[in-house]
Amino acid sequence: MKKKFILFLRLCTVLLGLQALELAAASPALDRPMDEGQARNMLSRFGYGPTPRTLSATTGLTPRQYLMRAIDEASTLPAPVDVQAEKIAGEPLESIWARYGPGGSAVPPAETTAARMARQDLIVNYGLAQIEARLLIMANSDNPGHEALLSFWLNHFSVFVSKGRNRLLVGDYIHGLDEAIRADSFEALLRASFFHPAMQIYLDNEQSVSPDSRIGRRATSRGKRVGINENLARELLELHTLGVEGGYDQADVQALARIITGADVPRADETPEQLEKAGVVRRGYFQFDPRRHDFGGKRFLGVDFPPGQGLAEIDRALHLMATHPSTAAHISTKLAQRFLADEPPAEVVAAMVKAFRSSDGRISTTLLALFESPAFQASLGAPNKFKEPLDYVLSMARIVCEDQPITNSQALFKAISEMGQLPMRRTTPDGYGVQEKDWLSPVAMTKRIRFARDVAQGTVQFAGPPGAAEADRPSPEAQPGCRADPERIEKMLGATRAITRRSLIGLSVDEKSALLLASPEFMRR
Amino acid sequence: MPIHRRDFLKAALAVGGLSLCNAWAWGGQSEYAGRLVVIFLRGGLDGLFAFSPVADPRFAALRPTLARRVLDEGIALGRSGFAAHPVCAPLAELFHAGELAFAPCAGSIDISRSHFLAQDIFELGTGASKGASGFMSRAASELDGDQDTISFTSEVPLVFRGAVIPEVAQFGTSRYKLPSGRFLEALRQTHAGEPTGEALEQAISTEAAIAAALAEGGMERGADRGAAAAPAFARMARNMARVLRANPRFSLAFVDLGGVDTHANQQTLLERALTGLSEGIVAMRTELGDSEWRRTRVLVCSEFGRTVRENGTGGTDHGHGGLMLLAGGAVPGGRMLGSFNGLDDAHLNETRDLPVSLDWRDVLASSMKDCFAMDEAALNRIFPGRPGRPLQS
Repeated sequence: MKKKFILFLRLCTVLLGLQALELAAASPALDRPMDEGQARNMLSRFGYGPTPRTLSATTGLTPRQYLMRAIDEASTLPAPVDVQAEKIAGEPLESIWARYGPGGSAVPPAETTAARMARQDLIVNYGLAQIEARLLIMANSDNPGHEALLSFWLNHFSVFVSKGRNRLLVGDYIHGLDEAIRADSFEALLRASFFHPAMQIYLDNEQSVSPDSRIGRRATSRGKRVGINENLARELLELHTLGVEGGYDQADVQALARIITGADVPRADETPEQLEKAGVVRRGYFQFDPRRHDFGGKRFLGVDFPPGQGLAEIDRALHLMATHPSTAAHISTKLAQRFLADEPPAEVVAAMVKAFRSSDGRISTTLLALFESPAFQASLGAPNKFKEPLDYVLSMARIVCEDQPITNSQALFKAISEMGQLPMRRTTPDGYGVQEKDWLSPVAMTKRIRFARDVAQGTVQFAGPPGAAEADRPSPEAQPGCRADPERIEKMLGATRAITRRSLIGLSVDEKSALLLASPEFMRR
Repeated sequence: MPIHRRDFLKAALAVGGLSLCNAWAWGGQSEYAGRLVVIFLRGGLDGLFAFSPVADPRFAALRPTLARRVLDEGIALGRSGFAAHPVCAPLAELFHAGELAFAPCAGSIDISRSHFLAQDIFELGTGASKGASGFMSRAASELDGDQDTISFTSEVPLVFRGAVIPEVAQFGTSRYKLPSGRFLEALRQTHAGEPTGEALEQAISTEAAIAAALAEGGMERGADRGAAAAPAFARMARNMARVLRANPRFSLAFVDLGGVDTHANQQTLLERALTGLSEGIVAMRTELGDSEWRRTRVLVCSEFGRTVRENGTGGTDHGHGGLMLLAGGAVPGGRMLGSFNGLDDAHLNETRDLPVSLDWRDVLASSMKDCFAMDEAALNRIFPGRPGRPLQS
């Protein structure tokens, strides 16, 4: 007995040792502290740009430490910004949900006109307010790597805020994906997205009903038409997991559409007792309703799904997709495109795919393979990615404000919206593009140049009150910081080209700031 | 003296060439050849909802709710067996005036039902789903040097990606004007030789083009944001037409529209989108005026059609063959293009979608041939490997 126990202990030691070995396998590229130049570029490439404080905090960190902090820790905000973000986000969803029924769908009896207008107003503006709060957090973050990662997943599992009840749910969706990042697993992210009503609503799956289900048969007998909707099933395969040429066919799409019937959102017309009696399973704002589910047998991705499984077969299908080899390739390619280059070298993607598969889809392992590649190391010395609008506007606010609180959330919102990349406002489920060809256009140049000039002149205020507009801006003397200064911008920018320095000659101070903020150097990360 | 293709063409036509869309053949004032405007509906338009095969006895049963209105109030399109949905009445009028033709089963030989893959396949125009240049970009490089291209979008779409960045005009952003003077010169200098520099130069050129349209008759303004899609597109189409009329050098134009991916609640959503499309096309005709309309071909299509049967949520899912429209003062209008073999399962693709009887690229190629008198070699460079079936009614 004692012998056995010792053997067991030894085995544990060996296993723990192996795991520690794997986690800490020292790599010169990953465990060498970054110098200031590398830290500066890391903060732009895998973050929303350096500020004096984040630069000094990142200098001396290793790439591995930088990444693990991005995964494990949320952003910390300056106290006034924290308060402001909470104020913008407004009333917690739980209390609105309790007051107005599921998703605001239950109209209180005998509601006055004023109350109705207030309710509608609240719901219409609620989702956009969550986005505004999110921008504020991104702009002021001390952990921009975390914000870049969260943005990546929100864009990968893209939902549209202004569709029906998603106006209310989008904040909770953001929160859910943020939590899932800490689990450091692709499957956890996939599940957080799928089991959220925002995704169900966005891709119509909450309307999908098996004609053979209880609710389906009842509707048919009453002459109503119900049936399956393929929308979410197709995008799960094409966009969220395997990728468009990932080796599935139309029959797989149809099978998956049947598997995910019953994935649903709460409705107003049933009491908790009725739901419980019907066997409805609740998870946060998501529910699984067996009365809508197709309990027949299916064959999906070459695997037989026996009849009668219900919710369990959704878990199984998600696991099959998350661990499919094509998913490893699809996700690795997307990560490399966002964080390395528009056309990442094949060997870098191959190393990431290997890391993804050997770690069961662990995100840190996959990204460390990226960070470790010579191509990534080299690219930290030569910023080559054309900034997306979100990168461009946020990095501008950060470089101009230099750690002073960025409080004018509406200025951020407006600029990013006009440049076409407001988070959660992409109408199509593919998310925003991340490549130069998606964003570099004559119109984009005009907008960026105008915006840079407005910021340099103080026409756009990052530090004013949330709604500080052109008309009511304070006089230059009374401005609370965040005044663009060409010398400080140039210093934070690092190396500028000779041609840019020559172009500065003869310009006014504001024009110099504007030129630097609209320079090719600042447009790349 | 080098002989320009256009001069050569004029001579050839004078000898007795017959073309459907060359302005000079009609004695118009424009020194430019034809013009091709492509309106691309992103999302997969349900063509059967817009132009419906009402004569097919299966139609009503396949679409118990979605067929209702067109069966009651549709406008017959000649003897084609099709009727236009009432919100497409302006298009039916163009059809009857001989200025619009339609193909109910157009598309690509590729059978992808992915929006994004199918859109890429259309925009690339090679039949492949990956590639470096779009067909408009390749067509632009076959045009004479004084003919230009314009994209009425916010970014450069794949169809225009390639060697040269097109001009891009986005309406409703007049607030964003380029600066001028020494600051602009400093910007041009620091961006010179960079991809961003090329985009900046095109932006400067587009501003001049829009200024020309403004000088000629003003642009319509309005709150595009938040407005319904329909009036927004009608207004946008009018403004596009004004820019084109004031700048005859624009020979290839592209615009894309969304709002047609109707998995649910299709009746409301598509009636709104089609109202905008119909009004927009007619607005373009009005604004361009007779002579510019004669040199212009407007081609409308979407990445795929949708399922023949309506689904369980008042919508339709991704299908295959779809509707293509061809409008203009000199198109062979008033007829159906390509074939339609009915709605019984034996004639459907995978027993659920319309098949493709006409490849987009053949229609685009023949339009380019008519508009710019391109030879076969040029068309093969633009659309390598296209089936090459001639248009027939």
